[in-house]
Amino acid sequence: MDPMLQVQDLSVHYKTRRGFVRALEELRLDAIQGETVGVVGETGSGKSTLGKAILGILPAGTQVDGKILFRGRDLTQLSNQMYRRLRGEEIALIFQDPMTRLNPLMTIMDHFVEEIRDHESVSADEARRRAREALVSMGIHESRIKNYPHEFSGGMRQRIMIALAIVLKPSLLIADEPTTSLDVIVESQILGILQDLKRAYSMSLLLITHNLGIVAEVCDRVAVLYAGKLVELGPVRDIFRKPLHPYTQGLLSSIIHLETKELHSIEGSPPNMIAPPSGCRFHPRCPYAQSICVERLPPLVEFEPGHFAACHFGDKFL
Amino acid sequence: MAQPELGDEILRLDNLNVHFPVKMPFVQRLLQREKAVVHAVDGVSFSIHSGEILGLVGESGCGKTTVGKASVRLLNPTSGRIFFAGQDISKIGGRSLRTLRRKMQIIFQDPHASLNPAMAIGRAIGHPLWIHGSEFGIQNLSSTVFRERVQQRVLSTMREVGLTPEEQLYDKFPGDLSGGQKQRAVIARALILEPDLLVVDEGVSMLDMSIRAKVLELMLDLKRQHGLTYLFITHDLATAKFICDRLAIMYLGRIVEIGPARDIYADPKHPYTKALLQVVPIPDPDKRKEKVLPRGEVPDAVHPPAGCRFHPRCPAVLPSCGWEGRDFVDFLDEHLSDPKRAGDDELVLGPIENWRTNGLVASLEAKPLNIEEAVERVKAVLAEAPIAMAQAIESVSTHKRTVIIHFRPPNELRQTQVGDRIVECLLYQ
Amino acid sequence: MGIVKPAEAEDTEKLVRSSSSIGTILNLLLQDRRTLAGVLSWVGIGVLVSFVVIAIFAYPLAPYDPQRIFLTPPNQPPSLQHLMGTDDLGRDLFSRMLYGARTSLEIMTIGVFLALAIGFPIGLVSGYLGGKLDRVLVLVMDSVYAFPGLLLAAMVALFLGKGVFNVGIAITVIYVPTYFRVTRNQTLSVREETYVDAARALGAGNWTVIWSYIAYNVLISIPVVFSLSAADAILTAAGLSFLGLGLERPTPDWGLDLSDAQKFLTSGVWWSSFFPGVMIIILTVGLSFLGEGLNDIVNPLLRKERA
Repeated sequence: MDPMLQVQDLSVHYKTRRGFVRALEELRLDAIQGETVGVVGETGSGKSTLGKAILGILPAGTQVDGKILFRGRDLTQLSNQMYRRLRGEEIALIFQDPMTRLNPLMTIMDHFVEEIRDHESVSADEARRRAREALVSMGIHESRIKNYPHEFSGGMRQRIMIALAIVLKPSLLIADEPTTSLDVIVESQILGILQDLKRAYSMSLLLITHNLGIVAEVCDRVAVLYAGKLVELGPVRDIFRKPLHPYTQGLLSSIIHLETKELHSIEGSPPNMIAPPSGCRFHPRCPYAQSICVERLPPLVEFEPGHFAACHFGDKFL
Repeated sequence: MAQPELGDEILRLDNLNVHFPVKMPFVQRLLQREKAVVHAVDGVSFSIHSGEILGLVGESGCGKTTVGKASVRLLNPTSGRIFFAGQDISKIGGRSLRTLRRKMQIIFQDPHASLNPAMAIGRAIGHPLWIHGSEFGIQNLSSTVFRERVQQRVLSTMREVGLTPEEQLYDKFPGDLSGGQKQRAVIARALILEPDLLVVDEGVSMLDMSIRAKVLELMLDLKRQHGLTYLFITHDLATAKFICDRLAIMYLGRIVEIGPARDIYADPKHPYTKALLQVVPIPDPDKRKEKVLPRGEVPDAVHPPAGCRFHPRCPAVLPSCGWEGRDFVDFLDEHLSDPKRAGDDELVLGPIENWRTNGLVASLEAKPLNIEEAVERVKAVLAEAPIAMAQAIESVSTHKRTVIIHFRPPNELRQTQVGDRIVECLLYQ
Repeated sequence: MGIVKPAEAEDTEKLVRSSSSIGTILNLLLQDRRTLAGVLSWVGIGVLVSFVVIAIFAYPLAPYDPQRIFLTPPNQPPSLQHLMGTDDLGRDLFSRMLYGARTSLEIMTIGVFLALAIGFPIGLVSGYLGGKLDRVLVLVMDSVYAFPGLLLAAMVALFLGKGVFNVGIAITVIYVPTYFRVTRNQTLSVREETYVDAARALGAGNWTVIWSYIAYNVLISIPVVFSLSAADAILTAAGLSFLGLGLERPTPDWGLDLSDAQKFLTSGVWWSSFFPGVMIIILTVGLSFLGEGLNDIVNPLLRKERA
């Protein structure tokens, strides 16, 4: 099947007071219909930048190179107006903190009616009917549809955000840390909802998270980002069974879970993104680093079918 | 792991209550005779012994942070007592409290927010020594001798917590440090006074996964070297498992289960503990499984549910757990808002605002002509309700034009000793 | 009690952003030279610095003594001999403008610094301690604030009598509430910061907390208010002099000169009103530019600190 989303050699550089921050560097990624792709990374990995780049909501003055093909169309070339139509209708985003995205002065119903009528010319009654349907499907009582955002709990708000994101039935849903500000039990509930929705609408889901536990539970494929570079990409089982990049290995072993017997961590801290390390960006923290790692940028190599890694010594870990 | 020898009791909470007034507009405050309060902590008791790590685990809003802050008296208890090393500190204030702060320190979740952005790291870490300088017998705080002593102590503490190269970082500002370094600075600042008790409130949850373990290990090291005692507050049972000797699970202001960590992980008793353990993600794509999750979210703590506070969400709930009038109305609301299930029930039983509740009673003044039908409909709705709730109903009766639902009074909930631990659940009473 | 906050953690700018201090403002000013806010600020700084230089070096710069009365007919138009002409008493306007800068800056400095010296500490203490003291202070300050500034200054000046220092005091009275309010509001928000809780947990007393943990972080929002109120103070001082409540004649003062000159406007003597007016406008506009520019530069910084 043709990928629905293809990100090709995407670079995003932010202009800051101190120079260009290379948030993303030549990133490659794709997603086919109905697939959940996890984008994993830590502070400064550029994972949120990726979501914003796909949705075209990077701050003004940001330098974007490369292509983002969505159903064959290059999104980086879209006009603002085209992009506005596309957002919500075909690509939707769920943020980490729903409260900052909901207008406190508008009722939940108003949010929906506005979103629907922004994109489609339907009557207010029809918009309201669809809003009600979407909310009820998220487990929000109909009686509360006239309430304001602050009258809902965090979990409820996130459900409302999800309902709002899917009301136009987009084919790609980007969820940027959708459960990070939620409690563990509600987190599980929301992940369940996302899974059900994906199945029901055969959407693709791009799940941006720092939590590998969540990735293991819901994703089909995983992309691991480090300091703006894609270091590993592959089916979730391969990544968890046989991680090829030392960063992925370190990250996996540093997860603390109920079976953890011994603590592991990665030495050092994430690099300065204005002047990232030469060669492989992970080399200052890598236990296997050789001189080649300092000198040469490792290319992304397909070591197994569908399993890519950017490490000079990837074959050693096969 | 052998059962560690229990040292002296460092901290003991005795029926601690912390209530906060609900903020509301002036007019509303005048009109409402009864003052609404948030029952953040409602009757919490536990003790921590020297050299022990007690984990306090729960979701947000369960009151765990409030317990932590009250333990070091950053908050005043509404009632109940707090003992620190045998001394009742629940009422002390002023100078004696400030002196006591040397012995108990707290570390907050967000290291960035915990450091004054305008104070260089070295000065921030050494500041506690300046604050307590007079207690070290130093009269002249500005003397070079004292200044040099402070600097030496700061540098050695920085080395101890791994904040190196310490000479270079000394003059840096918090904004120049990474998250992990900032948390180490916060730990150093707490440690420099050589406290007996360290309250760690979500101390690692904001750190990146790859450095979280390092900070945890540091805390364990410090415990071994300084005989530190921890109250480790977290929402993450996996982290707690690694670090805690004993565990207290909190839900909505109460401790529902407390005991040796090993026992609780091996065999959780309280249904809430079970639920929490179940949602800890397993980093193995081959072990995906369906989860039976508690319904809904933590209710608000202004009017906590009667009986066991977990009962409206509990998967193992009994008819005697504390069902009351508003539970029925909540369920009815849910029922009515789903058009598929509700049919035309709304016409007879709605709108939901017309229902009145008072403790064990829920009542509706029915519209004319259909009082009998209202009773029938209530019974039909109950047939779909959780069995425990339906069974808790004593009677559905009518009085003039009013449908009245009576619940049976719940059984008294007591903290029960189960093996080495205490559980607050009717299943074990 | 969420977990990681990646939206901010991802904020790459934060990764490279350094300490915050008053020095930061200067740093930002240097970095932001090309933005509108930067240009405004630098223009403002330029104006302020030139006026300070003029005020300090009024003696060597001025061609004549500002009090000297030339025996030529009064109200001479600008010429090479008298660059801005002479006034109705035959005094050299150019020299009077230069010395007038000294008077204006003196009044401004006394007024604004005193207001800061009183309003800032009271605001800090009131905001941090809260309670009854705070309520009383807010009530008092708000009632002063509610008074029209010039009217209040006029009343105070009337009471105290004329003179540079007294006008300075009159201006202080107007601006104490401004500094109080800004400081108190900022204190209220800084008070809720975790690091303040952390300081209390370390055993710091109220004064230590206020001094070492709050004052500095509140101070960062003061330069903006400072420039804006300074601009306002110049106008108020001129207004007072214009009304005859400010300074004693023959002190060289723009407001006084303007007041004396206006009656000759109808007879075509424009210069003696025009130049004092221009001086007042340049200095106030310059200070306003600085205030507005700083506001744009510092506020995003404040937002980031709170994020």
